[in-house]
Amino acid sequence: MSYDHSFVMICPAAARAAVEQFGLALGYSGQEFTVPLSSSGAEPATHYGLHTWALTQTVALFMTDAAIPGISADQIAWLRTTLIMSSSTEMAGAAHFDAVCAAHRLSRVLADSAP
Amino acid sequence: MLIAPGRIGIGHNSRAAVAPAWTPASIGAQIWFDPSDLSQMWQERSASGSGVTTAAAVNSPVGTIFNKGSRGGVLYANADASRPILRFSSGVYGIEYDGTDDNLISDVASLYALRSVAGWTMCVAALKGSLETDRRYLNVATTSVTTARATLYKPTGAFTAALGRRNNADGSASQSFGALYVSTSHILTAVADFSAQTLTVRRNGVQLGQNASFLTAGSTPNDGGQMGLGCASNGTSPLDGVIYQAVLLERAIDAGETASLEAFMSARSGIAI
Repeated sequence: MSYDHSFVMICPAAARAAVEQFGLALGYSGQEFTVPLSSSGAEPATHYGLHTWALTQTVALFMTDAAIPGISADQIAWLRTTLIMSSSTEMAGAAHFDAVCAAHRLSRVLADSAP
Repeated sequence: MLIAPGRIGIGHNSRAAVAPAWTPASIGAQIWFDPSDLSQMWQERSASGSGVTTAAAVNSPVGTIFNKGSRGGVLYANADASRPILRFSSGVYGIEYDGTDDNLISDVASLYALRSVAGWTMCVAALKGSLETDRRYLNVATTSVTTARATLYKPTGAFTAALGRRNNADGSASQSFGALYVSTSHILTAVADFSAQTLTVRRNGVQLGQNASFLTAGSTPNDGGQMGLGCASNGTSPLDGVIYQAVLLERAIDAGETASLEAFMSARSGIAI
């Protein structure tokens, strides 16, 4: 197994809690969308994003019409219309994440300084 | 020609003296994260280190890494999507951070306490992949994760820097250097000596500079507690690059120890010094 797909997901802030509940059902932490985003880069965040390295089958699960175990067809349809998703084997990491954000006119909300 | 077993060497029953290999443990490192040791990393996330079952593998996520230093303990990613990836390239292992949300942090106050120490030393072998600022190589903050206590990082501006403070009453003191170390692997060493009030920063075995009035007198002991590797102590400010090795000691090390430590980092990372 090789985690060779750079994978970006962006979720509207208002839908974040509901989307994270689906993540919990799939065995994820329920706190995956950790990068605050907004159109200006200033607070408040209007969206939250994540970047991860993913297996081919994981990308296929989210980005095709495949059934997702434990989630109904209606819920899957809602997820796919709610989330911005992008997979790439050409771009990686911050470059991929920032490119997806830019395509949707979003910027990271950066704290003044991290502890 | 066949050689009889037990007869190789300068004489039967003779044994050459072989010194043990030098490692950061040789100088008593309290913190040592070693991505080249796959037995110390796991794909699952665990704040305590318990319950992990899937060993780390190249091109797979690192959810938990054990500290090989004397303090023990673990760092873990705070979300599944935030696990960095173990890479192997040109004979060198490294943990790759995505510069977006990847992190490895300690549970609050469980790993480390910079309290009543005479100084500290941080040394990392790393690659920084972009110009993004305020990115952390190694960081210790207060237990409440509000203030950095000791940090090697890339601050705003074209510098590599070390930052730290001895007491809560101190303002932070930092030492920055005017060079961009992007897309180039490097070994960074910062040594804070509280008695001499100096903070010295080195790159690839060469001193970059020294703050000779580092840290002032204060009344409240430093209470550093939470640690971040390749990120701030709360998991933000992730490095966009690779960590090959990271070491922290609760004292200032001398010149000889520094040379040995940097030579070790060079051997494990392939970075020339």
